[in-house]
Amino acid sequence: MSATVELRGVAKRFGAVVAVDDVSLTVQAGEFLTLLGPSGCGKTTLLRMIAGFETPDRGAVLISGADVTHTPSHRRDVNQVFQSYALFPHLSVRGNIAFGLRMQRLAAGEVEQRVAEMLAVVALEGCEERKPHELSGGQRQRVALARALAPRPAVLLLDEPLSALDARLRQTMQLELKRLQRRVGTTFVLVTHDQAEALAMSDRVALVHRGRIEQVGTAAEIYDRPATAFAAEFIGQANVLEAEFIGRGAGGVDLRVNGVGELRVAAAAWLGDAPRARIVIRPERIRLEATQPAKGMRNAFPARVEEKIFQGAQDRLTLVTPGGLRLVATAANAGTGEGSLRVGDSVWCAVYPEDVVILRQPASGEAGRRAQEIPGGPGSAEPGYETGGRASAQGAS
Amino acid sequence: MKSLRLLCALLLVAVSAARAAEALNLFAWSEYVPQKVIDGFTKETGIKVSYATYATGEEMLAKLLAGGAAYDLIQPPDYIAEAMIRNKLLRPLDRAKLPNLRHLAPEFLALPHDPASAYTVPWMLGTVGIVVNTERVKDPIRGYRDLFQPKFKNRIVVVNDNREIVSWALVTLGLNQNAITRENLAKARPLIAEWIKLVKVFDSDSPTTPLLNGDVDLGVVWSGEAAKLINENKKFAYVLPAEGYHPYVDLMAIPTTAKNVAAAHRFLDYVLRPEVSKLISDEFPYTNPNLAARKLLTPAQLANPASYPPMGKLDTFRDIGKAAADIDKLMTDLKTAAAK
Amino acid sequence: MTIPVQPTQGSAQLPRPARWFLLAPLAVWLVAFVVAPALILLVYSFSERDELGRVVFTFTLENYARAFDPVYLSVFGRSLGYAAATTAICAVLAYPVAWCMAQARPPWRDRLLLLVMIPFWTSFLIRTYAWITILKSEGLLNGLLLYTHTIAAPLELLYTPGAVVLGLVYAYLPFMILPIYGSAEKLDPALIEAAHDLGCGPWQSFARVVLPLTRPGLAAGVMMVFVPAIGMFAISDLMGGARVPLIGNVIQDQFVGQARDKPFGAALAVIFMLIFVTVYWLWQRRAEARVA
Repeated sequence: MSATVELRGVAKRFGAVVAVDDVSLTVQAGEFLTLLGPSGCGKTTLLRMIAGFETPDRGAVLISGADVTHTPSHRRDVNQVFQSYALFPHLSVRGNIAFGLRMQRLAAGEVEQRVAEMLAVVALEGCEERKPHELSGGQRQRVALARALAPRPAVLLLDEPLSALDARLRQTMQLELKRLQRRVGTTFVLVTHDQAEALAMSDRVALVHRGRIEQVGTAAEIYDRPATAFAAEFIGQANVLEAEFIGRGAGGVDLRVNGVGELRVAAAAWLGDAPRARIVIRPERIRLEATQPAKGMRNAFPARVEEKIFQGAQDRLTLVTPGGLRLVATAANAGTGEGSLRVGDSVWCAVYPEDVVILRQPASGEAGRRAQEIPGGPGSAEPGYETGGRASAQGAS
Repeated sequence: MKSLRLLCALLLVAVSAARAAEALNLFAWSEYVPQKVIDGFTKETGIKVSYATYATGEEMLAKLLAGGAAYDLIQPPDYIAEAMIRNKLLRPLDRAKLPNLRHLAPEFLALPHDPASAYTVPWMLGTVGIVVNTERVKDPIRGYRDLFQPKFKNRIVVVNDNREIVSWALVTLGLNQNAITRENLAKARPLIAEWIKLVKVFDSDSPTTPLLNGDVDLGVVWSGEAAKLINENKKFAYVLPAEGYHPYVDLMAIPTTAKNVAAAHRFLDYVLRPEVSKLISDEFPYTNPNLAARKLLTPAQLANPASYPPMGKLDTFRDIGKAAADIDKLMTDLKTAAAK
Repeated sequence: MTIPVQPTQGSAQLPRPARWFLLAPLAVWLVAFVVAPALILLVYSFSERDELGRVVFTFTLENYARAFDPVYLSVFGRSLGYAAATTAICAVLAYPVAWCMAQARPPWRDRLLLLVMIPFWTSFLIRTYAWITILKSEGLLNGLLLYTHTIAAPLELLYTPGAVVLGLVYAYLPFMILPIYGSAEKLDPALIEAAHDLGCGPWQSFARVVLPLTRPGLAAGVMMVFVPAIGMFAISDLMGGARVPLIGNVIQDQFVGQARDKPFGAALAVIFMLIFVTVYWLWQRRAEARVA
């Protein structure tokens, strides 16, 4: 696999605001990469740099190996699906799709053939002569896709392409987009703030936060092994806890967590000599038992159910330990009979050493403060983000 | 310009119509009745004067005929007064109420437009003559043939008055200026066509402006305008065309639709007083027909060649009726051709 | 506006008085200031004048026959030419101005908009006289050029066809800027980016996207400049020295000038109106055809 898009240390400022701060990123040919982050994080600016609508203050943009940092957008082998679709209202569906082809000065017959091809790909045969205002939202979206794909660009950029659609259509289109990408084999770079969208479609996700890339990896990598508190919280829900180093044991290190007690963590190496660190435990990795496990078992501690939120297949529980620490856990929906937990019930929690993730970030200092700010931060209004943030803030305090 | 005046006139008409009985509705040329004269009349008689204005005699006639406002006193040019008298639009004057008529020079009374002087009183007379910027033009200019020479192309302003221009050509050809027949127009046509090509500006409202601004060096303009220009700068000279010229008489008359005939007579007699008439001459240096008033003028005023040129036989414009349409067509055609 | 008019007799649904009440001022205005004058002109145009210039109501086609005399047709053609040149120059000048205004940030937009409007605060005639002061032989412009030795002798600027077109462009430029600005402001910037993205250079994105999408504003501007420009008479008098009669001068002369021939003036005006109505109608039909 070769790199289709490469960003080398790009940075961009708008007045006093740093939109992009020293970002390097490589997108492989045929890959579906998502730039995921809250609004204002710089992901759109990154996309616009690739498209050629913004020139970075520093760094370089390469497409298919060629430096295009100062190449205007109309000479880049890149096409974009705009958030508002930006279909030309004065042109028909055919005119829109043929637009880029005519700019490539393809022969009329060739244009005609490619338009027909694209209409088939997006299943809009028969709509050639309609004007954009005569189409539904989903149809417009597909015209925008067809228009951007028709010139066969090296990279297709998608700026929040599904945000204008209703929830049901959005889910259908996620699958359609993914299938389409597999079929045409074009490199896709998508920008979204919706983690579910990112997880559903992408080969890899680049998590963008405050103008930097927080972590790049497959969805599973980021979920299972988040590198930072932000990564842990932005994707899924997480308990982020402060921990203190006690010593090394068999297959891991022993940590003390306030309000929980000692935990053994399966970690190859503790972070240098740091006495403290932050750890992440996903709610579903906290195993709940009605009775105390065998005496002497590590990583078990009691708690009380403080709150229970019904979520269909599972319940979301807020637990309080005798030490006063709040944790979020989930329990499978066991019906109303025996075994179902109620608010006020006592319960035992157990965590496998390998289910605890130690964050690379140090526990105190800049990064720690950053994690604390998150719930009230600029991204707090976004869905799928607030819930993750809440559990962690309580755990960390 | 004209539209603005029109608007002003309309406003004044509207206002004046709402006035109480003891008021005089005066409908006169713009810039022809000094404010001092109006104020003096109101002070003496208590009669308020509404002064509505027009820019052409034709405009005055059109508005008068349209009705709407009852004008008590109007200032028609001679040839329009002629048509108005024939169509019984003017009221005979009560000469007993106009003792100051005796000051007028007899040669300005009983002219062809009103042979018995029964309807009109002359206000001012003028001629149309040639103004020369003597600093820029050294050739002797005696008349139209000297003026309209190819070497003066684009250095000439003339009044934007088609009838005037046609009359100059007619007198130059030795024809009667009032004989507007198709035959005569056809004879004049080549001459006018040549002349029009030489003219840079046609302007009736303020024909001396381009002369003052230096855009042209020669002009055929109203004598009163020329007199003012000469007062401002002695480099300008006024020449009465050798081929012939005509005086025009602006008159005062009372339309039959007048409401306040008594006040109109009072105003007429008031402006005929020598000391009042002098005020008019001070401001508008046309030829004053009032001999008693002339005695009050300074030698300099009387020596202005544009104000008091030697006048021969007074051959004024006569009404030409529908022949105006032929003049209009001829001039539009020639101007269009000259612009190509 | 389509409001169903139904006979009151035997109908359950009476016309809604409130609606009529709201429409009344518009209807009265239209009848009093548009329909009635147009009808008067129409009647005049078939009448004759008497020796005083009064309108005599007869039925004659003579005025129309005269209007098609080559003399007046050429005046008409010339007026069309002047108005067309004025409109074209206005469009070329106004487009970039309107575009820059639409691209400016909001506080600047308002300021620029104000600058476009400021000329309307003074009388049109005063502004025209100001141009005379600038352009005359001993005027400001010639003075400056002589002073800087750009020219050796004063240029002939005033009382030329160029001066007339300049005066017309000056008078009507804001009427072109404002509607273009109106449609440029509404243009989604993403559409221009989309054009660039699909391979358009600056010129092509203008020709293929910006121009077609601002065409309604441009068309409105063309109407608002062309229609008054073709009927203008004051500028050709003041800045052109009345050398070149335009159709507006001819019509004006028939009503308040020496020609004293209202029926002929009315015939010219009626022909004038018919041409506009026809052109507008054809244009609307084309626009509708395009939408359909």
